[in-house]
Amino acid sequence: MDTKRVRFAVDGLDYDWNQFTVPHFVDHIAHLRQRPITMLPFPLQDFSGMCLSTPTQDYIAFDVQRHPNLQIHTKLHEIAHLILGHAISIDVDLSGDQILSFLLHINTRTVHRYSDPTRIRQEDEAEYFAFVVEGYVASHKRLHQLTLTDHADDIYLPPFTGDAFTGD
Amino acid sequence: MVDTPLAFSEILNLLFTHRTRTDGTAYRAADVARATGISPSQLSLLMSGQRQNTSLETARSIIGFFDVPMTVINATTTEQVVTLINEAKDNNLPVIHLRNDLSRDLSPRALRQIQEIIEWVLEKENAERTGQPIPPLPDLNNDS
Repeated sequence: MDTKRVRFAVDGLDYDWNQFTVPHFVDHIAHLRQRPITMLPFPLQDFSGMCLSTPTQDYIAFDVQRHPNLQIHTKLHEIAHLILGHAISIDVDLSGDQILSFLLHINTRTVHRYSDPTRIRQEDEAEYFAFVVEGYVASHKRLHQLTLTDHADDIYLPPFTGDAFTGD
Repeated sequence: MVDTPLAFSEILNLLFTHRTRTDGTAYRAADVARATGISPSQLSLLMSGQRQNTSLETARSIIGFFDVPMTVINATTTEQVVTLINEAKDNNLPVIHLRNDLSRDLSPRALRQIQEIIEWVLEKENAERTGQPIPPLPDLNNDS
């Protein structure tokens, strides 16, 4: 695995980690790629996520049956595949007279061991990308954002002062 | 005379024989074990018939992997099982063919879900182009 390439890709995002929330990060990626990213929550079976790029948009499907932390990790993992160019071209035959080319990556890592060295490298790189992102998030004291659902950004936790224990 | 359902081991072996990967090769017990969380030894006992009974939950997991209706456990003949398997194959959308290197590691159930997602994406983008309402997300939980 080329860790330098992955780190370079994360640093190349030019992202302000102090602003990190998952939706904000996804918006930033969409802005960089100049195309919308649609998140698709599904009860997936036998695979944990996938990313799909049509000519104009990106889609990330993730398994809502998994722990919320793992859902966030899956989103970062799938974003990695988009950024690192791991998707494979597929042709979709539409009613015989129209063919669309998509880019698709399916993550089955949790249920299968890959034998293909390319797939192994891509999965390792995507995992490393997600870990690097999570590391930056943690180092900017935004770790709690990796534990929240998309709709929990408004939750405000007041700083702990100990008042509740002293009764002051 | 009342027909008795086939033994689960017979159904299981028919599933492995007739519900193959897109390249025609058979799934291995290890594939099912990893996807369902059922231990390989338990699968082996069930396939060999050394274990005749299993929980409904286990049966549902295994049959779900092959994306065949649960009614298959009530089949009384080999032909009925094969018919149900072939019907399940026909129900898998033929519009989108994933290359073997993409689909090889995927269960029939996963392939169906991916096809439904891709179809929804196609419908959504078509709706956006033509100003139609965005279609609702597909219900991927429609396992029988």
